[in-house]
Amino acid sequence: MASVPRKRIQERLRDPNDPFVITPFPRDAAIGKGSVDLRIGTYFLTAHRSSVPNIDANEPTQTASLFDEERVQPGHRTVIHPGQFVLAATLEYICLPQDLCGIIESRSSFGRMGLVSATAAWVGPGFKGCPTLEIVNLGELPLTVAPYVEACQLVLLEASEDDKRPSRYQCSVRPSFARLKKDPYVSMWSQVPEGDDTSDTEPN
Amino acid sequence: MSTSNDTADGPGKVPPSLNDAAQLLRVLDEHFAQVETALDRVAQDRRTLPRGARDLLDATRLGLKREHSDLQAKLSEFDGFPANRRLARIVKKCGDLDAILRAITQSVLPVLEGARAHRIPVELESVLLSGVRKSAGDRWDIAAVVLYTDYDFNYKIRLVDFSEASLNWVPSLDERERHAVVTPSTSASEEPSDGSEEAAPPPPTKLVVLSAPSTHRDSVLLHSIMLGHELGHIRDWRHQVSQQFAAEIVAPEAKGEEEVSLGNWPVLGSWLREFSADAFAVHAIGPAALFALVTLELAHPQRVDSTSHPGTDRRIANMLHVLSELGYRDTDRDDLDHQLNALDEMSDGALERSIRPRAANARGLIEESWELMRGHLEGLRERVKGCQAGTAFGPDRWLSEIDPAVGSLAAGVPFGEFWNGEDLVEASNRAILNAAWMVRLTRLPDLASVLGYDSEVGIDKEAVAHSLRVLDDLVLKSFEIARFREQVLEWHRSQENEFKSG
Repeated sequence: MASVPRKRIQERLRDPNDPFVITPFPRDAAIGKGSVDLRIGTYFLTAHRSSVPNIDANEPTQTASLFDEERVQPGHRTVIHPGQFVLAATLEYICLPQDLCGIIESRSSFGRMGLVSATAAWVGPGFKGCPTLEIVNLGELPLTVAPYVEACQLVLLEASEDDKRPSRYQCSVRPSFARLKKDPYVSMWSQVPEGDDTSDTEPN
Repeated sequence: MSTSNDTADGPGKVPPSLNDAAQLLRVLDEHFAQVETALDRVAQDRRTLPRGARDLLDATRLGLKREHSDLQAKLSEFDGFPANRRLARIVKKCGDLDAILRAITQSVLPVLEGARAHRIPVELESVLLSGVRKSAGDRWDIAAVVLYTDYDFNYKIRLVDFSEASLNWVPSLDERERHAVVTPSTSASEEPSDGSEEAAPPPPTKLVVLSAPSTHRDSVLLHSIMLGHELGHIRDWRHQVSQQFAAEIVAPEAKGEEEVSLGNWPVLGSWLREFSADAFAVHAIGPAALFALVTLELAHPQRVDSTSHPGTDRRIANMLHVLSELGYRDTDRDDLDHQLNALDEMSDGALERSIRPRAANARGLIEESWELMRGHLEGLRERVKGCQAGTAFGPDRWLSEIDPAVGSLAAGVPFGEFWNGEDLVEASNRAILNAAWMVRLTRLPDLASVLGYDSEVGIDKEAVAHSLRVLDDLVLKSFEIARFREQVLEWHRSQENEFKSG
């Protein structure tokens, strides 16, 4: 997998017949060597403390009740406290064709302040939407973040993928909760039968 | 009359009565404190309010403080009055402030609650502001546009005289529209010319308050009704079309009266306002205005007439006439023709049928007004057309602007900007809306297939619901991108230039 050269990114984005689209169109300075800087959008989902004792990974849809939706208007800011976990989405809507994929990385200038804006950052071929950013403040001080700040970058890699199944989060324009409920294998693993009593792991 | 002056407070003490000035003021202070606390609670979450709602909140808090201070100042003036006169004055003043407190509680607080950013489609705010300013022209200075949602399954608009200096506008938020008194020979759109060189007075300041059903917060395609019909009311008020037209229709009935009170023909005035707003809506945003009305009212009894609104079938028929007069029936576009033909069938005979009143006792009233106006609808449409000359969203623009947008939205990509030669320009809001409606009506299987549903098998209820939600989201995103390109990037460029030149 090779990264996509800057010039090639610019050519492809300017070609109206190319299925590779980033809208709003990034400014020149945002297109780097093999990457495109992306801005944070205006929607934030902020986890709040509650009386729920835990989240069952087999029931990820219950996470919706543990988050507050915040729409921060342009010109305003939101605060991310130390250790706080926030979901946001990029302003940019990205369409990757089958021959491109990407990884979302924090921009180092924000990373140095403790703001990590990506786990599970893979953007697969054929993806369409505003990727969800999983943001954590790993620093010691609260950080204020404004919408439209270029806080992360999409590193673009060449791919050759025939499978056209859409992403589970296809066409999302705002941060999404986990949609694992649609994955039958997640609940299956919680029903694995217990092993034999004479297992080798028993202590002597 | 003998009164015992012995009370629990001691001999000779008169107990305070509810008619006592001090008691009145105590109650008023309590009301004031509670309303002020409620406003303070909203203010604590100030950053969740969009700009228009923040302006409304600030004006209300400031105005209320001022009213209360004015009352305190007046009270000290009354100290020198005889007791009865003092009491009467205090009762009057307290009553005035109490009326404002009630109006704030009943109308302003619900608006502020419903205007929080998570209760409204925030991306629509800038679209509405732009639409309102275009609709109002230079007739009014629009102080603020407030969009909120509530649990009324209806869209509403209120246009009130707004002055931050006084709270007179608060009762207006609740006020029902009054019937105008109009002198038929006066044309309100003509400016009086007396050769004077004095500067024209500044236009009156207005507050525009728009509401949408809260259950349909993100149904942005339905919100075409706001962008079309509700803003059509503003255009009607600005150009005084329905008001003047109504006066002309009833003038022969006025039997030589100089001024005609439309209050005697309430149904006539109301129905003409609605027909006029519908016509303005079609001129402003094209077929999207009609599609939204039909979709909102589809499950509602359509062939029923109320005192305030003609039956939906009559409105559809009238809007179809407007579309035809604009040239939309001559486009040779099968997809559009198919939709308009279907609506023709739906509204067949609507303008000829008899009255079916919602309230039986209103039959006579409605019939009387309908008989007066039924032959004048074409004239009304002509009047609206005259006001919109050169600005209508006609079929030429529809054809040139929406095809790329339809293709983009059907492929699951927002259409907020497009290449115009070498330049990227923002898409127009009405192109986005109309394209989205065409996708909803004719290309939904394509969008469903992008989402992973097999359109060859046929899309089921779940697929339709998911696709419609995504389509609404794509439209909101398109608005956001268009605004970003038009305003934010422009601001950013000017900042950069300033920085470089500085």
